[in-house]
Amino acid sequence: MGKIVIDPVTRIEGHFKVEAVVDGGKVKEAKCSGMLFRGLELIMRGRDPRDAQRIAQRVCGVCPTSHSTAATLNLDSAFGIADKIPDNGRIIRNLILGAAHIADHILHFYHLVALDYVDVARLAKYEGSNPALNSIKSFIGRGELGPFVPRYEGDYRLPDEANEQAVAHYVAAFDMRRKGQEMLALFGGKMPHNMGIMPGGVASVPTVDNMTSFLWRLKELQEFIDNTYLPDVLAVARVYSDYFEIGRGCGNLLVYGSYELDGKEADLTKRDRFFKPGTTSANLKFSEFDPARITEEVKYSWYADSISGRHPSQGDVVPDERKKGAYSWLKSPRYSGMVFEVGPLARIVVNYIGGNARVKSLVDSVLSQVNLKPQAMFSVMGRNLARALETKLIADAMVDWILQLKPGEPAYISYKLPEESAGMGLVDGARGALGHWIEIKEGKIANYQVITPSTWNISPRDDKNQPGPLEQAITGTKIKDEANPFEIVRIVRSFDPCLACSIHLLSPKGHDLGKFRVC
Amino acid sequence: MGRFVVGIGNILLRDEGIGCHVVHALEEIPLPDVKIMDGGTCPDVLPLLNDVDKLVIVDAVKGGGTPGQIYRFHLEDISLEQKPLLSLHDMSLIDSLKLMQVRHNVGDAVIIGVEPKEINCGLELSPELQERIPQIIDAILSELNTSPKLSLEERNKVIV
Repeated sequence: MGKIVIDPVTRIEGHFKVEAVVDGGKVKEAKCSGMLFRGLELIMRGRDPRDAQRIAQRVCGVCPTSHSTAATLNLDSAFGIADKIPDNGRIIRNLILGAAHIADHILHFYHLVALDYVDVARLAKYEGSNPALNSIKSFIGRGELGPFVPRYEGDYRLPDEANEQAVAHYVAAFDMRRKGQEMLALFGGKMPHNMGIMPGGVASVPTVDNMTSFLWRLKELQEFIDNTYLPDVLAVARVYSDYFEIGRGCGNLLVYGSYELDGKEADLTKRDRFFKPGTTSANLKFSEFDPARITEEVKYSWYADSISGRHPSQGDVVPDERKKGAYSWLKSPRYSGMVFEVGPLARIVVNYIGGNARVKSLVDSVLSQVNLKPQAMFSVMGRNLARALETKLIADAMVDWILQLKPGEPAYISYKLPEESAGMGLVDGARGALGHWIEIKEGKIANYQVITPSTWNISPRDDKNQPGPLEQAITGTKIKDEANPFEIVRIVRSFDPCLACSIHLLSPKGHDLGKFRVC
Repeated sequence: MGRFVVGIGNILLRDEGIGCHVVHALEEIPLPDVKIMDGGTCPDVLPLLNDVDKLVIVDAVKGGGTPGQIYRFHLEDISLEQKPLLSLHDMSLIDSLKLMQVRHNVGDAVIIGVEPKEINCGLELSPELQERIPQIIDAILSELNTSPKLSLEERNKVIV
């Protein structure tokens, strides 16, 4: 019996550790740990509620747009204006979030996931004339493989030509990502950390000029998604079809919903959203989503047991870093006391069985191309495929949304700051269900709680000792070579985890910076 | 071709956010032809820049000096841990710069580092670092070989 420790898992946004106990070539037990304490909630207390949007999104450089959206929906609800956002504001918020969402998924596939399946090092022997591939070749020649080399040697199965094509797309994906970021900045004011989404609506107005600039870039992205991204994901899926049977997970899926199609309904769970809220399980039956059923448990987290089992609106942060048996800084969010996975897989499957017509027709047509049933989506490759499918769905929908904007009409309404109030902001960001809760007293933030998608997915065991979704997905996996456990790495990355990005400090080796002192 | 100043860091962790605080102060100074960016905690912000011939990165740097110590170095001057202990992004600043080189020439990339005092939850810089902002800005300006059209006194008034 051996123990595999992967710390940190490479190319995952965040500091994160996986421990797997392997017995007879199979993972017997897995533990996922978030290794950093996130003090965001404590920073919020006592501040002006309107600062929440600005502060919350600084917690992460990968998902700032999702956090700014959740914080803003939270404040809209606390300020009593959730049903009064002008259509222009509602639509521009969708466009800002959508631009971030599709750019994020393209980054995740080409710059994080693909390297597990595409062999960049093989380009050292490249003889052709493609300038992008030659730039990679000379990069390898200079010994600078750093960003490309996976921590573990994978089993690379793509034939040379497909492999080269995928690497060329890796380079092209930079341009696509930049276009997504530019789209975001057109309405968000700046990128990263947009200033556009705010309670009451947005800080920008639609003009023919910025609508055209946005649409122009969106069309290029659509072309890339349809002709490059989705085909590449399907090519990888065909060659690695065994990964439709690996990393199944807990089988329960949860969606808060996102992209507002209706601005007149204050209740986020009843509002018409592009991705509908709901839950499902392995039986593929749809259930309505009820946010009152969410709790956070901390038996195995470095927090005092006294705060366990609370609804996030009553949540607290009481660290207890010496707690016996605890192994993570993440709490364990649960729904009806059960373990739930969130993210693209949840959005696609819940909307598929919930009768979302656009989702159903795309999923059916793509699954028939790879000859699979919907149940196969509960897997490593299913998650990667779901991510690509929703990228297409969002990009296509954005073309309609942008044409619904009305230049000359307002995108913002003013409001009065309440002395006492409470709010809830629920949205599905790129990585899944994201919730913010606020309590306002005497005009200041009295309490602020955040549950991120990765907290759901990489949560540790809960008070009933049920392992989290990723822990369950890893457990039972066959490991060919304990020294080289790429199966685990591929499962982890299919969840696209992101832990609170915190520290970007440079720590040079040896601490000998004396000769570089300026003053 | 353009000259860029990018501040990197997390403003929720006090001195860790020095890079962002400095570029915000720099924005108050009229510097035509210099593009200033608050990169925040975005791991891949550098490959988003186009046509760079001069890049100044401002970041917190743990170099063993006293708090507020300013360093100036190029990437090739120092050896960096491949996996810094507390880096939350595996796609580090270094990877980001390397990826940028795949796309196009980075030109002259210089890091202006500042020794932090406190890295813990909070929005404010420690006083030692707050006081250093004018000198950090001087280091950036001499890097850009640009003097703003303001006297030192006027500039400090804008910054502080």
